Amino acid sequence: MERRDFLKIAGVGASAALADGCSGQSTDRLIPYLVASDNVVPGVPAYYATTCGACPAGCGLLAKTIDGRVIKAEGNPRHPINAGRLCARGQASVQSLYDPDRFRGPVGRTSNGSWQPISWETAESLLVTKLRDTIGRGRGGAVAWLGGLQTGSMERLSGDLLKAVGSERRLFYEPFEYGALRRAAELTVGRRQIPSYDFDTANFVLSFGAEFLESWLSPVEFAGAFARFRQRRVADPFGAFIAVAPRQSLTVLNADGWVPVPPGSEVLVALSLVHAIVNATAASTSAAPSSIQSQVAPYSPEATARATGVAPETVRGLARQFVNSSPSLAVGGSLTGGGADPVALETAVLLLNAVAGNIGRTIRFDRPSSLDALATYSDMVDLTRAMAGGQIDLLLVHQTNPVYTLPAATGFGPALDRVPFVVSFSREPDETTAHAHLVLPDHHFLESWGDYSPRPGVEGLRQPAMSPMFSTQAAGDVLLRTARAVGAQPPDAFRAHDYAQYVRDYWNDRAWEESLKNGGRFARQDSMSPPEETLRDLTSTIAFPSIPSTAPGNDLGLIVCTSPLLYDGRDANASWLQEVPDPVTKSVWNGYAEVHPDAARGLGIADGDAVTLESSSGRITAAARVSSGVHPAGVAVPLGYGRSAPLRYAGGRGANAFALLSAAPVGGSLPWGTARVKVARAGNGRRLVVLQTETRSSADRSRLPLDAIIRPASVIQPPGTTPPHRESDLYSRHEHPEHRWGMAIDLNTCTGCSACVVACYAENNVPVVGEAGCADGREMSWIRIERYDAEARMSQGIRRTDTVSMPMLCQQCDEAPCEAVCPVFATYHNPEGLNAQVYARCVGTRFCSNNCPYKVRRFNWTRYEWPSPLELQLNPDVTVRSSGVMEKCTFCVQRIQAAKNDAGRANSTLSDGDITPACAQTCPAHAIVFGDLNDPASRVSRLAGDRRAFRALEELNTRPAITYLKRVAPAGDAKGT
Amino acid sequence: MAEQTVTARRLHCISDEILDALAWTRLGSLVYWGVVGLCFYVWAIAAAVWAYQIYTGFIVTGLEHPVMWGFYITAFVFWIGIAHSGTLVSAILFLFRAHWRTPVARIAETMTIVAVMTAALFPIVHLGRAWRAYWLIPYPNQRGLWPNFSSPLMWDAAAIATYFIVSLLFWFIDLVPDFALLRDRSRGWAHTLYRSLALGWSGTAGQWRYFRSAYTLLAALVTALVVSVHSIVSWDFAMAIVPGWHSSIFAPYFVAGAILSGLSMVLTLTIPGRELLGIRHYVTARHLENIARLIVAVSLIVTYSYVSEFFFAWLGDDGYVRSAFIDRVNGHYAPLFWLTIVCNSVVPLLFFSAAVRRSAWKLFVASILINVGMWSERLLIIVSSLAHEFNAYSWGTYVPRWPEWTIVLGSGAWFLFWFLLIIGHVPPVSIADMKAHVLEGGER
Repeated sequence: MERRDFLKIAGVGASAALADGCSGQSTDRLIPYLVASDNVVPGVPAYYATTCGACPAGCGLLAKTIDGRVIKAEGNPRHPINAGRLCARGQASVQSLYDPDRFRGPVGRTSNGSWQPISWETAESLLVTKLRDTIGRGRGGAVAWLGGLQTGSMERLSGDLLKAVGSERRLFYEPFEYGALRRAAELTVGRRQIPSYDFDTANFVLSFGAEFLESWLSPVEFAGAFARFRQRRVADPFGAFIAVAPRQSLTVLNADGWVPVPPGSEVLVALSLVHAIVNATAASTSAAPSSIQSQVAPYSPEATARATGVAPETVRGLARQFVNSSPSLAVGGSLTGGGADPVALETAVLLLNAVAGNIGRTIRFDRPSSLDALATYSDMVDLTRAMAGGQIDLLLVHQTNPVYTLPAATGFGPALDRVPFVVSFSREPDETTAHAHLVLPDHHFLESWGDYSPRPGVEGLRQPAMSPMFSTQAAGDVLLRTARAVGAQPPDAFRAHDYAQYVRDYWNDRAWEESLKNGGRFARQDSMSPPEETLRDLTSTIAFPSIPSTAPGNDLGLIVCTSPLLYDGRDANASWLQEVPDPVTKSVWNGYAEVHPDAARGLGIADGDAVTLESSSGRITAAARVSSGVHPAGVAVPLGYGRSAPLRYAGGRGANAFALLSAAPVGGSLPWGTARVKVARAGNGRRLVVLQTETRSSADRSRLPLDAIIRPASVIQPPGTTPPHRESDLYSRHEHPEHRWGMAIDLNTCTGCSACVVACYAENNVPVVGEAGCADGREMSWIRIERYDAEARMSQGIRRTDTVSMPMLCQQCDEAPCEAVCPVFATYHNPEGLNAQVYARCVGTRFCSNNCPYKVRRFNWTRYEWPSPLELQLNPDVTVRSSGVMEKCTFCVQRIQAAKNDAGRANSTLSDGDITPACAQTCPAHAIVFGDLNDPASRVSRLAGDRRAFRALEELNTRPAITYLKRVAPAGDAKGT
Repeated sequence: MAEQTVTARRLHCISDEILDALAWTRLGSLVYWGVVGLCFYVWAIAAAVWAYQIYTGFIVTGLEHPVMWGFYITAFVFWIGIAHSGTLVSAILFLFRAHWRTPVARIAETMTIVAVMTAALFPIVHLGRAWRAYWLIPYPNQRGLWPNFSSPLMWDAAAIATYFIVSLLFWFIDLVPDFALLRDRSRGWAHTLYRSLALGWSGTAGQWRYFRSAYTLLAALVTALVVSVHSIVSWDFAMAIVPGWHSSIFAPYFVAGAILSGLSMVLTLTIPGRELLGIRHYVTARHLENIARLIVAVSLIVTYSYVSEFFFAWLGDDGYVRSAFIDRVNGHYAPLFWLTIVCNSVVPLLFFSAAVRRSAWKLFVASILINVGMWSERLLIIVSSLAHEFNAYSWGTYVPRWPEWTIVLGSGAWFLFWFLLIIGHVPPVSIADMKAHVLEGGER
């Protein structure tokens, strides 16, 4: 054979082999850039501004990408909702992006009912055929869209498509739909909308269960506002936040006082407050029409006292405070509460605001919320009925999971089975896809184009931060192609060749690039005073519940609660959200049934026992948690557990509280608060893993934290005149010639939400150890939130536990006990004041951990693994630690180093605020400040010298670099007076 | 003349009788080799479990945050404690001219050496990365790194190494005349071995003179080490700031504890050993009784330390320490506390009764109980203090798991293996000392 022939044949063979290997779509990723994009420099992070999709609050998010992979979610500082902060769920969105259980591509149901992966061509042609058939049969009206809340492009596109096929059935469904609140607003001021709340100007906040620091409306925004509310106390004695609720949620834990009431009786307390106000200020009833007076007449504090257990003096005292601290603010019922008639509760709360003159000041109706467009539970019941009745032929389900989030009694699942063709756009298997015929997995929001506007004037954009992980397609693209394929009219509405173009056309923005960079378009907050609202006469429109005359039976009232981590359970498969302890109970990886010690005694239940809860609609089993944080007449069960979908972290974990709820709507809403449950002991067992079993702080100082709450007086007066005790040391002090990094954590604003903990997991490649690992005490978190309660005391009928949430992380001590005992210098004091930990040097004697009084060092008990593709989330700037070595918080040394490098390259010096560790960056309450203690002008230096400053276990002379700032109790607190 | 002959015959008889004990070790002795083989088998299994632990990581143990030290460190302290009385019986009693020590000294010293060999395993077994254990050794290296001598662990390593070397020398020097005797009585490879071990001993007056002074010097040195080594071991704990550890009483407290455990281990080993080796008339009831008397004295010191610890916790104004001690008697580990008190403070009081002191089997049972008590004392100090520290969030409980049980039991087998192997190949009672003892008119 000639050499040339050989080469020819070899060439043909090779290209044939290559051509064979090139199938479909992903080859472009294998080819290196011919001309490298400016945005992609290996190892250098690029940030893409987008909008968080973890809940309908619509926070701005910056996706940090390195080498084309998103590794971290950070808050967008330019976004008016969250001002650069994110909650725990927002931080965990990168984990839902790399969720190992996501659909790899479209799947269809075969004739025998099993699932089969299919190609996108097949899948889409199937959808087109079905849609065409349906239209052809003249059943266009039987096409329905059931989706999570959408605004902007997707709202229009889905609407246009439905219109084109001739259907009006489109529901935006969220389990938390604020229907009662909207209805109450309609009744009271004639606007069916969610009001906006202003914690910034309120002088006194009264909550009737609203979890505004964890899941209610816009938690990150409210946490920031609440922090400012509480920070005002430092300057002058200031009003309090009192919560009236059947259970201590995280928000109630942050209240200055808790009025425990039986589940469902919040409305009576609210009405008795209105009664107390209108009768005390009878002379000047400008705000209170006589109709109100007559309507609340039966609810005198004396009349309600027996049903609510709240003493009349307490009600009068609160009423006085509420009126005198004008403007005050009352916020309505819990997402999942409100008792038998949530509309009545919300109406009573609005009335309370009205009689105190708060409407138009701290509570306004001139800024509608996008949530106003949500379907109510009644709408869902109607849809269920329509499905069951065969009125729906084709259902498109998008970003929602009603089979899980509706009570089983509603019968949504069986009704879904009656729908001939169900298409789901879910990105991972869930309870609803189990009933679908075709799954066309959508991108994760970090891979998508899109937009979301939580309220007018705040229009957030979404842009893909990376190319899709799997063979997924944007739902928008599928809709556009399908619409064109079925010849939807008008063709102009579906002209855009892809969804990215569609979004761009929709925005029609001259400053498109600018909007992309900013993460959207944000109008300046109007400072206009809102229009006057006139109070409607409620006499004929609402009947407030009568005061129950008999005590309820032995059954307990069901309190369904949301956790700040799991929300409604949609991202429960993000293992960080399972591993980070519930801020209230400190339990991990499982739900619980929380009962009061008195109730538990009556039922013969001990902490940790397995108990069954049985309502008229269903029955679940959960681990009992005996706690005085719940009213004796109630039992609290968290949402988000009991997922039955094949999800490795969430599936089969705990019990689904939705199962206990009954189906009949009350006031258009899900009957969250009506269920009464029988609780019975089902067996022994300590299945609930609780990471902090001891939360009482004690007077004999045998437990942290000292006296972390101080009275306002001690803030205003200079600290005590006790001279600093003499110090002598055998060794000379460490020198920090350039920097000494330090941190200040303000316990006055920290709410304990645990966003910092999740951020730390994400930033520092902290492994997840699972439920068994946590039960063995081997959780790896570098920062944790410790909860400490003072001895509970009653003052003026209000329970005060003085709970402090204390973030605990490496204190980077100057005289670190860990350093002296390491035999190999694996931990040492670096010149910038950090306790450096050299993983490669560590031999694992674990003496450092024994000698750490803060117990913040973590040992690698084994080789931890990240199920693929979760390993793609790992931060390449941080070592993944090997088995047998110790690790701990580094103050995000990689960020310090990066900032120093940047400053060096720019020939400038570091200035205060250039470096922000992950925990400080995400803190919704702005409680964590990081900086250089060597710089006397830095914020952290000033805070270190603050009158509220103390150091943890200061008497051990460890000289921590972390300063804690004490919480300030409100004026008028019995402790202070 | 006749008296001289009698004495000579008696001396000769001592040699024969003691060397007869070695006959027990001849290759044909199934019992001996069976026991040695069984011990080997057990520690080989433990070694395999250790390999498994290294491969899988410490996840296989019951250790957890915050109890980072558990069974392994307890075993370390326990074996170091055992190592103590050997020297005490041998060196201190020698210096005080307590001649009754002679028959038990050799067994006690051998126990010391083997116990240190056993103890030395545990700091390595307990390392997260055991394969990097050599990083603790101070030698010039290409890593350009040096160990941290402010860490008590380094003091510990130095102290134990010193103690081991000096104890080995002390034991060996005493053996030289006996090796010479064995050399003279053996043939073949054994002769070659013993000849090299005898270091050319010929029994001249000059050699005896050097022997005596060397032995006395080493006895003085090793006595100082008894105190220093266990003081330093205690500083592994006392230097830490852990409530329940951080206490100035720890050094004497640990030394007393070590002696108590060592003395009881001497009883545990000697009582069956003298039967097996057929040396009952050398190690007599009087020797055992004397050890029991010592145990009572030391036990009272230990009890005094227990009381002092609690008294300081009560007297001091430190809520953390008080909380730790309340937890110790009242918390999860309370059973260990009461076990410790019964075994270490109450059981030895029985030795006030002559009937108990003079009954070998009662002594044996009591000595086992004291060993158990000393084990639980160390476990209690180490674990319960760590489990209940400053930070309430991190309170936890430690329960050992099977790899820890296996390795610790394996260490017992390792100890017995070497002890039997050595005691089977050297005279179990010092022949030279015994002869001198007899010549000086002591009882046999």
